[in-house]
Amino acid sequence: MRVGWKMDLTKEIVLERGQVLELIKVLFKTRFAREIDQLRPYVAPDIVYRMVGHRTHTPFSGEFRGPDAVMNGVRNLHIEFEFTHMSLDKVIIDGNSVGVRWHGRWKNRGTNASADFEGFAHLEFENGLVKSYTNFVDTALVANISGWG
Amino acid sequence: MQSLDALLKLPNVDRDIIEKTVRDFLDCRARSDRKAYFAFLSPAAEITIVGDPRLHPYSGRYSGEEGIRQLLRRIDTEFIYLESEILDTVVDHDRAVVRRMKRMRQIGTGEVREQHFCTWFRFSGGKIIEIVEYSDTALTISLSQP
Repeated sequence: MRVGWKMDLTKEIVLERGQVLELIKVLFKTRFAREIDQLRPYVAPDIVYRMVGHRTHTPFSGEFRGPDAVMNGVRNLHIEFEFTHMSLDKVIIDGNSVGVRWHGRWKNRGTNASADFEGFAHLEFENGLVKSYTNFVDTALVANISGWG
Repeated sequence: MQSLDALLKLPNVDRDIIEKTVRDFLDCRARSDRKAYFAFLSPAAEITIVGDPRLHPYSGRYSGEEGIRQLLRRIDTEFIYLESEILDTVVDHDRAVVRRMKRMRQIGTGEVREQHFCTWFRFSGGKIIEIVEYSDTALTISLSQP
């Protein structure tokens, strides 16, 4: 007797803790390998990405909505900066909400100046996809190595 | 003996207690209630303001009650916090993160801006032992050095 199953698409996908952690690692690795387009399957259609800062002193900061704008926002950062030694330090998971402490070295491709950064990312998942991603970084130091203002 | 139902609720109770503690702590700060503020902190508590200390006036590590009092004094002589809104909380066992927005006024110039903070908490023995705070450091500098 054949037994089949059919996924109930009306039910919300809820990730388990271990799945969330693995997903965070995949997203981090993919992003910093500059495989930006490969992030697209992981993002929700209404994703919001925020790089905390004001455009008057942090040109790449702001709020980006939707997969296209988010991919472009992230891609623009990678055009301006080279990221090396990026590392996830601590990850905390609270259901669909995740906090990530990270550190790494940023080098501005225009000025060649670089510095070590530690930052924080907050992500929210919905139906297994990234719905929001907010990143905190030392914007004063970003401006300093970039020759902004 | 606790019922199974009560035991199953424990992780949520712990989570709810941590979240309430963190919110109450931040409320003490907003009200400038220093006595209540320090009651939440372990004597060994450390606050780290993330940033390059060559650029950002408050960046650094502040240890123990006296160190933390110095930090608060320095900030409070420059800024008044007008309102605060908690945007997200993440709680995981003995650690929590709060993302919030604060409207702040620079006392010297009177300029008012919205600053976003992300604050990491770690608990030990029921008290806060570690705080790490992230913010838009360039904004703070632009307010401090117009």
